Amino acid sequence: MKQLKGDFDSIASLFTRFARHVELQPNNVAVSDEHTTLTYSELAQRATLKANNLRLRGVKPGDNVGILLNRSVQQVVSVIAILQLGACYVPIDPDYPSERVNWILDTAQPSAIITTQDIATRFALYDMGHDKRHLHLVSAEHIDTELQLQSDVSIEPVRPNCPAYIIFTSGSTGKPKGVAVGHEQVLALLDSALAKMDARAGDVWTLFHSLAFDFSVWELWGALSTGARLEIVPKSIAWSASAFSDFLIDKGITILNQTPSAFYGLIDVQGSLDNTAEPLPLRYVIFGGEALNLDRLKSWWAKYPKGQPELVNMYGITETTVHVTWLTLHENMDALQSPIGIGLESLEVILLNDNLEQVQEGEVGEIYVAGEQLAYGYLGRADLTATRFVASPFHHGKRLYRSGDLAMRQGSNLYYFGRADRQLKIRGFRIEPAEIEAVLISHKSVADAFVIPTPANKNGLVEGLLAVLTTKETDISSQALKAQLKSHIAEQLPAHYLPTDFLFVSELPLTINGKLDIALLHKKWLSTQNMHGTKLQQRMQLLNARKQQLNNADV
Amino acid sequence: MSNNIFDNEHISFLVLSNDEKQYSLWPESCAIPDGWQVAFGPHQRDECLQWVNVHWCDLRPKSLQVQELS
Repeated sequence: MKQLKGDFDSIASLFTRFARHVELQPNNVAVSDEHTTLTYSELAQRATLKANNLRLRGVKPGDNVGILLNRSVQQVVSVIAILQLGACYVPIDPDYPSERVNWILDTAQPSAIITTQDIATRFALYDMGHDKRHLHLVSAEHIDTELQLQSDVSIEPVRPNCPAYIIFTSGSTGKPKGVAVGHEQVLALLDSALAKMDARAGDVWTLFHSLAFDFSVWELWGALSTGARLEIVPKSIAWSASAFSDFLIDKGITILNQTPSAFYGLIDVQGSLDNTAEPLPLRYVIFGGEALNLDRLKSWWAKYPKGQPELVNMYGITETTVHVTWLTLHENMDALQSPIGIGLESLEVILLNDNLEQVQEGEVGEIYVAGEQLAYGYLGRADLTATRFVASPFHHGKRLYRSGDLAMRQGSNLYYFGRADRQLKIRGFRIEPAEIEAVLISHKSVADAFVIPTPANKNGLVEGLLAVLTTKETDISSQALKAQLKSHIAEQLPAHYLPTDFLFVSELPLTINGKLDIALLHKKWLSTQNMHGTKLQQRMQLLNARKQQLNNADV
Repeated sequence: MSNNIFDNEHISFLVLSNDEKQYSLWPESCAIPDGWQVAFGPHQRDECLQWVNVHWCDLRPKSLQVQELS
């Protein structure tokens, strides 16, 4: 079968980066999941067939194409097929509630969706295809039939002129916003970040994260642009630290990308093993998605000294293409600070005060990012794009992305100082409290709502959300209302938006500065927990110990 | 909302554009950065953003849009 022909070298795209390795090492394994293993050649072949299948259904270069699939090699086949056609992929997690799926489809207007029958039925996509959107549903299940039917397909290389992907993130207006990222931005990320590593074709990366979380962009293309192997982690294994620890050994994983929250579980598992246990084969562990607590790495360092593997902390933002900074970690770093290192070479990190002036060394400023990794903007939201991607006073005719994150520079190193607004990170998920508040207030019994983080746990981590509510006059009990609110939220928002608990108050308490008194609300909530039998004393100690975190959350 | 100047609804703003036909909200009180021209304003923040929504229909930089035509 002729798969790849034409002048690939002159085209800079994610697809051509992959295609290079199809020519160099066709028989090396590219990707595997629980059931299927594909070499570079086989992956290219399947992607070409899928691309042709999409083309026959009318998908054109520049179109958006949805991927609504569970974890499998089909996800990777689909991403490559869409990019091969010169179209843009829009990942949608099948675990999302249907309201969110519909919102993304309405906003992205894909010309086709790659999905399975089960998922299409669950989200009633067949009805939409016929009545509303003329969507083409492309089955991910019949690939073997396709292989038999079409044996001589080729696709001319396309110079991309649209985003490579659109990933939806939490929006403060109550609806998610689609960040449109181009090929040149991902290529800039790969060139600058991979240059800091000794990544080889012999490496084995995991695809641990949902395609709808942009950490997956780095996992996927880190592997496929270097000729390495990508192991898709089954959901059941991703959820169990001990199963995942075994998986890392079984599959010989050498490059692992993790949110700190997920990695702490792995540290605990490793700590529980005796010294005769087989060590993990890792060469690099890269942290991203949320602030890292260096204290939690202590027992890791005892077992795995620096460099075996290398631990790297990367601060990043979806709008500036996954990663922004790089910091190689070592055991003797000051755990009281949250160091994020230095900016990647393809971008520049600038710290500004409220008057758009650069702050002095040692002063806290808001992180603005300049350079090649800035996304195009927010799909269908030119207004929001113009307020977040702003004219740079420091680079002729270029833009800066205004992150909302605070940092301080000391020497050449950056230190993270939390958010300038209310955005939260819970287990790596980016959450705008306002998005949940908007849903809560839409319930008929709720007068006002405020969503805050729960008190930090013993690791200094915020693990959940607390919804603080005032109610309208209502006959129903607070228990019944809680149940109603839970299902009200579950209908509209992904599972990680569901508050841990609901606290009903007669009015929202304010501090003397007029801000919501989060410390007081935490006390009130902990006292209700106490009535239900938890150890208030212990929690209060933790609360005091982590006052700093609370202060940060109250910026 | 943050205290960031771009979120301040009590000051007046411009809309700037660059050669890539990208648009930026810009506080009228700040010097206009090199390589950017005034496309609209000064006006209130809301009016500027409404103008942007009407006039900025393709988020891709102009160089990519041109490529499509050639």
